[in-house]
Amino acid sequence: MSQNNDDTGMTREGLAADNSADGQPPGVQDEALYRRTVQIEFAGTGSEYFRIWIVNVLLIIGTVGLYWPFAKARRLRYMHGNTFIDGHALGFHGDPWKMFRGFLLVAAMGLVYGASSRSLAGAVVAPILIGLLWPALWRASLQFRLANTSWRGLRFQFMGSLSNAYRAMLPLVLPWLLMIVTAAFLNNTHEMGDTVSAGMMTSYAVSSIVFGLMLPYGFYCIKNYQHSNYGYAQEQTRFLQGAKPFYVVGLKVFGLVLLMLLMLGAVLGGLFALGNAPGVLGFVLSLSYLVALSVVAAFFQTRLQNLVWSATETKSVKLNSDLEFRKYFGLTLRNWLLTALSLGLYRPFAVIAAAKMRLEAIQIDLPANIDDWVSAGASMQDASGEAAGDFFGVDVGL
Amino acid sequence: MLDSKSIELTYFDGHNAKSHLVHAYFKESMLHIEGDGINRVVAIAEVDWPERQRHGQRQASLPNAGLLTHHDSVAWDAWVATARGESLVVSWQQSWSKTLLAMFLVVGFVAAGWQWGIPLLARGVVHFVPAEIEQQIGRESLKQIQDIGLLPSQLPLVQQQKISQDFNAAIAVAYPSQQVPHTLHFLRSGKWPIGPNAFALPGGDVVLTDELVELLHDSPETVTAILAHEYGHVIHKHSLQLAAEGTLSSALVGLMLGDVSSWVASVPIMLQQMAYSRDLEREADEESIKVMHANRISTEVMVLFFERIKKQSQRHNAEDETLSISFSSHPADAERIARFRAAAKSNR
Repeated sequence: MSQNNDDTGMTREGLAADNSADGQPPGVQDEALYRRTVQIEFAGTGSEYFRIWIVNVLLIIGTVGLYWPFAKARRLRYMHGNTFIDGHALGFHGDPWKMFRGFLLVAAMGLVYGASSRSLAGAVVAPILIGLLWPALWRASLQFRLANTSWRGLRFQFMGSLSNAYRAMLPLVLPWLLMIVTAAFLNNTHEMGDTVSAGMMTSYAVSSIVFGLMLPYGFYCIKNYQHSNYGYAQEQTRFLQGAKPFYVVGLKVFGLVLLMLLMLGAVLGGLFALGNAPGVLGFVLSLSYLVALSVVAAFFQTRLQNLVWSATETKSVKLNSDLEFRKYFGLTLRNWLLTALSLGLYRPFAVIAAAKMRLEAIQIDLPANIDDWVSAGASMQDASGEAAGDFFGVDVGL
Repeated sequence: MLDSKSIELTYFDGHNAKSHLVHAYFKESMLHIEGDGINRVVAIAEVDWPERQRHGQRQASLPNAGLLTHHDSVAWDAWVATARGESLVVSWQQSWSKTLLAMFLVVGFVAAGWQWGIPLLARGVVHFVPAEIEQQIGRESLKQIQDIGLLPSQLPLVQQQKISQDFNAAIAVAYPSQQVPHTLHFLRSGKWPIGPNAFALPGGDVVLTDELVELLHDSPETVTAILAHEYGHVIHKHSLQLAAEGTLSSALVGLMLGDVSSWVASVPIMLQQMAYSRDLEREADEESIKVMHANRISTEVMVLFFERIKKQSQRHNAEDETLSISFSSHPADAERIARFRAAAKSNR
């Protein structure tokens, strides 16, 4: 716990205003000006998480999947309880039974969605319904997760409004819907044996390109919504970046994908030229595929985490993330290799190692004394959104 | 007044970020928290107790806000153990021997599910798929096959009709009471060489290639027997079952491997489909034998098919090394030939 005085003008001003409003004596105000930077520490270990995980898996199997939300609650408790900020761990207090209810609701939705995609009407209506419900569920999941996360006994909050959730999702949902619907019509025409008109092909191609071009902006809107609305005590985060750096990351990832495809092509060509046995060919090719995939995944995750968390601050807290691509790539590759070789048994170790590296790359600059921070009042939320977030693969990422 | 065991803990009131140093102890069924201006009594059962672990901070959240924590997890666990037992799940998680047992159970379950569960489930699932969906899948796959490059047959229409009639007559004899709807499609290889081949699609579409008819030009009975074999696939809805098995096994691999699934999923699923399809071939062969017996066709005619296919693939192998028959099909072929030979003997 190093104490330093490298406060920025802005936060000092904010603090000063805050303290004087509280009518605190000058001595306390001076003390509050002392700031320190703490690194998130993660104490979880793979061997312990393995034991939690394997028992969870057994229970999930034994209950035909119904134990899933309870396993998830236990997992989150473990992860939170091992994430230390300034010597205090986070806490997860989600009620597994609430999560169970949300789990059932989302499972039912998934079944309806799966069953309806067979007919044209279903293939058009179901995505529209999902598109309409999704932002609300997403917001609910953020509210549930944050409201059930605590630090120093105070609950976090998610303060984003419903209308802003829709606004944040619109840039992605709209082109996605356009793409899905044109694809559904295209499939239907094809199945009926009619010739697909050039206009239809063009509209599908255009909607796909629009979706691709909107992707970085959509990511920006989503991250901006999330990172502008996290709350703790009287503090609310704000997000300092615009859409531009998201396009920079997007372009680099796109370039990297092309590069990796070239690399895979070269490997394939080289192997054919050398005339290797099919076994060797398969082995070298899968290995190169795994390397290419982990390069892209690690690059994207590193850049996105650093971009997003370094641009997040509150009135008196500043965050910074300096996850190193090279280190994270090595870890990702090792994790995937060992997971594949162990037929999945290494997975809990991989999860812990990745979480440790990602969390410990985050530094938090905060006032020395936050004893007087006061809860802004927590609200309890329904867990169906949380389940939806899990189901559709969206994670809050804290 | 301190009861049996008292411990010094950190308390947060849930309203303020300030930590309080408190004494906590159990008395009867209540938890008492005292010190630093705090004085609370809470029923032990109403506290959300953390599970015992080796690492991480213990946090107990109290009803109506409030949180107790302790920096020393070992001391905490010892203290809590004086008041309440722990759940079965926790004791499993904290014991390596029990975790190992859990691991063997999981591995055993996954292996058994892979071996027997998935085929059984897939067999059950196909009965619940409505006929129209099955036909739709069949139509889609037929269209895809034609898109890939199968061309319309060049066999004379008379010959096509003869094959259809022979086949329909044969199954009418073998299954007098009821026949499953099916359609015969005559196609030939285009840019995608599939050679002498016949296969059944979901919904009763059976495809027969010109190359196969040409290969067996002198033995129309073998063609009928092969079609009866494909009809066996139709009766048992094998294509749909294979598709269901593929979906189920990829779901299982996805659950097991998570991130990596996209990469490795294809390998075990391919292996598994090869193993499953052997069982399905056996089942279809049995129907074929039934049709042949009913029509007094010697099952030896199928042996002719295997011999010719083998000869042709050897010729192809000499021309082009990449077009090799998969490893597992040779012993399987031998097994099938033996089955047809045995059937011929038993019917004599």
